[in-house]
Amino acid sequence: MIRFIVSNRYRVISHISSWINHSTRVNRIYQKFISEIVMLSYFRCVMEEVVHIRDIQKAYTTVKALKGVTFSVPRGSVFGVLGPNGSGKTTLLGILLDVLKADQGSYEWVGYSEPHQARQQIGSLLETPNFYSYMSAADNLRISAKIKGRGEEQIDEVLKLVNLFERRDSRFSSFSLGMKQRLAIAAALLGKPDILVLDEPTNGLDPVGISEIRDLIRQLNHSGTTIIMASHLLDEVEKVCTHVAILRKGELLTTGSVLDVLNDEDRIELDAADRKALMSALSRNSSLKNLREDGVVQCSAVDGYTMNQINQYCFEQGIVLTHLVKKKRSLESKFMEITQS
Amino acid sequence: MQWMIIEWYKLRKYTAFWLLVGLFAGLFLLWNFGLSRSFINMGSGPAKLISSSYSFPSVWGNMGFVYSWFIIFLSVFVIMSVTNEFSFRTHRQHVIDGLRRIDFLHGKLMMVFLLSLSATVFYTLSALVFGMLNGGGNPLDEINKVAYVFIYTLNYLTLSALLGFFIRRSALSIILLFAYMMFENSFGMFINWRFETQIGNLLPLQSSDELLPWPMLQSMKSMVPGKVVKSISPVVYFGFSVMYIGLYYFLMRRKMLKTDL
Repeated sequence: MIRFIVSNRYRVISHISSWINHSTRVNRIYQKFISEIVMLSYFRCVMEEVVHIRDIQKAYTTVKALKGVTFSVPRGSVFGVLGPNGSGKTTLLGILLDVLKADQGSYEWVGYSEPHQARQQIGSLLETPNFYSYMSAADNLRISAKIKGRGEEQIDEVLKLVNLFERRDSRFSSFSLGMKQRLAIAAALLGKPDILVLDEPTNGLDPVGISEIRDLIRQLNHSGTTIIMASHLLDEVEKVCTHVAILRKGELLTTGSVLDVLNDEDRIELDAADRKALMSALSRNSSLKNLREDGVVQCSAVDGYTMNQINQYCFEQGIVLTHLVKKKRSLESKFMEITQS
Repeated sequence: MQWMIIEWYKLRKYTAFWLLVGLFAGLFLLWNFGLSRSFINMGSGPAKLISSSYSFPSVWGNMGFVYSWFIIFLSVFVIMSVTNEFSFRTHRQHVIDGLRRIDFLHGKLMMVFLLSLSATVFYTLSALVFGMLNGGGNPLDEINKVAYVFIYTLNYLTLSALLGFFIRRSALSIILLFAYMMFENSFGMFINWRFETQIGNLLPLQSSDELLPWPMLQSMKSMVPGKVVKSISPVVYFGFSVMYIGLYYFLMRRKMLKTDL
């Protein structure tokens, strides 16, 4: 029933609208109407996510690559799947794209009754770019477009987007690693997909290319594309992701919005000519905690306690600050803390 | 239809495809032309190893036998076509892009089927032309050889595809195909000799080989004194060939659907 609602959502909505229009029959249809509203609410709740992953398990002989991973990806997010090498990121994406078979568990691309229909609508780049070496960039994209059921008219457009239009007739074998990666991204962008699945999308790109792809990801996300991205480049993830799932040795350690995962307070750095007096004064302030000395004095503040208040407090204690900086906690430090704990 | 278009996109720019198909067709025609004009001789008089009779109906058998030598070019092409997908990892990419695993397999097998059909049509037209140029006889006599050629081709090419799907490396698959052909031939002959039977002829490739036998075999057999072993009907060989093709399909299907790509 739920699957029917999801796949026929527009029909369900118009059905309800037509009922509302026949207001003279309100009493008779009241109960049905309420039940439809309940179903619609459920449907809206479901549609807020693009994929549900439930208890996915996968083993390679004796090594357990995934140990019951469960999470959902919110629609419209840039969802980073993070983890050190061998944590199961690519295995998880491989299962979602049906190139690997899960030993247990399931996944569901919301709104699609058949997984292959979902894959046709999703733009994906998994591990290395996979193309025929003896064919040109344009011919390779022609095959991708055919499989995805897209028109060939978009090929030039996506090649321009990744700066490969001038090389469209060159053989794939003549491309550098960065160009191959760009072509794979072009293939993923065919048909303006609602969802992009990218595994290490900036692999092999030079700094300019990395920046361009990062901008492209942001731009696509702003236009409503949901992006699921696996990466071990934390800086990259921190710059573009809105949500993360952190994996270690096949286990899901945490998941949520980047703000929630990094919900720890910001770090404040202070210094003064008399550091001992500063330490002593700060230790008496109940709004400050985690006080320590590491080159400078570091601490964190409770919610709502501002930098102005800290400065004023120190001044009232007779201490003139020579250094006062608020530093945001990096994803890297949080990641290290989570994966090493 | 979509699978066929996708396969055609891959083939039309693939040099090895045109080269191997060209070698198959060109050498087949040249060899038969040489035999029919007696430019090529193997033995002479009654000890002639290959008949140079190209009139109907013997043209069907003669050309069918010569055809069976050159099928190896198409087998090598099928292996390369399948293993290319694994070496370029495009089999994964196709599935990622939305092709169902079974559709990927069916695309390849449809290519094998159409290649077998085209090769059979080519054989049929060639035999008709050679038969008409060399006069005499009814073209419809032994026309059943056309069906035999088709099933022979399908058997060899499907086995080649199976090797490609399981071995995934072109050089190794080609070597294994040649090795298996030699092994099976020797093993079948050994079984036939050891047990004074023809069961050895029912092995996967031999069952199809028996559909396109050496035309001089029967006359040579009659020259050799000794116990005559009851021969198996071509219908049985045909049935076994079809059964093996079904078995290859089952194994490939299982592999594609159950394993990681």
